[in-house]
Amino acid sequence: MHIAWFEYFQIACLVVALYCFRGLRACSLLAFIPLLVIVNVTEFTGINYRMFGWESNYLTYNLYLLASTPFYFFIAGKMLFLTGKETFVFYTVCILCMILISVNFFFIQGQFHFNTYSLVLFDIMTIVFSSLSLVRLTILDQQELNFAREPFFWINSVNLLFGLITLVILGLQEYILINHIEIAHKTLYNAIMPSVNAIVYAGYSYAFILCRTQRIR
Amino acid sequence: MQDTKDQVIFTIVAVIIILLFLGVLFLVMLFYYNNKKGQMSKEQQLMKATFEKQLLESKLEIQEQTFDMISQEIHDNVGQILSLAKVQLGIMEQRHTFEEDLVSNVKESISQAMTELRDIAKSLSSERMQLLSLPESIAQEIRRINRSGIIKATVSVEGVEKNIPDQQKLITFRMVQEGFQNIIKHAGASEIKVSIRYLEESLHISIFDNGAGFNPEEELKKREGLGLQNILRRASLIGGKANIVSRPGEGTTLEIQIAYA
Repeated sequence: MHIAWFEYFQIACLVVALYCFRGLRACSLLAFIPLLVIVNVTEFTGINYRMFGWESNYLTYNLYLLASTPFYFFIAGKMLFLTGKETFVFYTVCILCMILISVNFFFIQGQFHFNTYSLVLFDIMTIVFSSLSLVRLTILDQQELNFAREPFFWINSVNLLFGLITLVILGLQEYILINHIEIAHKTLYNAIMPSVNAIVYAGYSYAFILCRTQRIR
Repeated sequence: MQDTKDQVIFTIVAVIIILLFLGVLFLVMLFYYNNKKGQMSKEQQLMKATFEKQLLESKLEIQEQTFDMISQEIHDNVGQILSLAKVQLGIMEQRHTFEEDLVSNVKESISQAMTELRDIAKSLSSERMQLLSLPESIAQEIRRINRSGIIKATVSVEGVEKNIPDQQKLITFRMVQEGFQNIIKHAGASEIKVSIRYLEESLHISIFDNGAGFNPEEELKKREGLGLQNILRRASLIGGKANIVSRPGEGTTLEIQIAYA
């Protein structure tokens, strides 16, 4: 059994989320708890897939994509402060994305082949939603915001940067593996993704603490 | 083969760095926009506070001037008329007679004093000011001036009357009143012509008198020119403009321009 160093950030993030439960509820971000459970279970099984006698971990990550996307979309919807028609358009787009991801999982790339199309689609949606959320937070709010103390800003910022990086790395995942594209004797994925994951989950944790302090205030 | 791989790695890393740079640039722009918004909001708050302070100062000044005006009016008009009535009653007392003419004179004096007091009360009431339109209030003030018999004042109104917020209306009316006071006190004029014009985007009021005239630039520099300075300041306070056109011996025109809110 192996636990990668960046997994500690994910576990810590889940612990922080549970500790800040009321803060997350006040900020309508409770969906992060099941999402982080899925993340932790996926990373653990994904890294230790050989322990379970599996040949590859693609199915794990494909299932992760299928299970986590609705939670991500739900959280994005909460952070966009949607009203009236916007809610309808947003959820229509999300349902269409979910249909495409499911079709890809069952019929196009399949369950045992890394679902790069789904991942690229998911990353594009993450980039679009987090950018919209940041713009909405900055422009539509009449008051000046203290970004350093705004949980939605931190969540969306790390989502945006994560989306931009993973769009290239995970989108080209198969190509990188087949062609043994490496930096410092590590695959590009292993060289970059752990640090990015650590930053993302540290960012989430900080945002959760901000949710808690805001609730107390 | 290794070169091709290096090129691929280089391209992938470059694309990641560019995307990351764009993402960070986007965040920096949001930060910048947010800071600008904060600065603007602070400036707006400061402007609002300054405006409210100036408005309060203006109101206090107006109040002080109003007290002066009441004191002057009571002393110069009502006081004089009542003194006359007292003298007439004294004569009757001395003569121990009941002359109908004298009694009617006393009654007339008292009724004149009451009218004067009523006029003062009307011109001071800001509630009444809210009920009347600006031309009506100015016309009422003109009737009061005409009643004194010293100056002949006229008013003309052009254009369709437009609604002005109460605050603006009151301050504009006080400016006109101050203009009239200046004419009565200093100009030695025999005629006042007031023109009220409701234009498309603003209200123009011009007050002309055929008095002695003066050099506005010099007068504004003097401490005695505080009345004129008040008119100019109050106009700018309600987002308007005031201009004094005058030359010695050629009368004076006070022009007030107020934009509709």
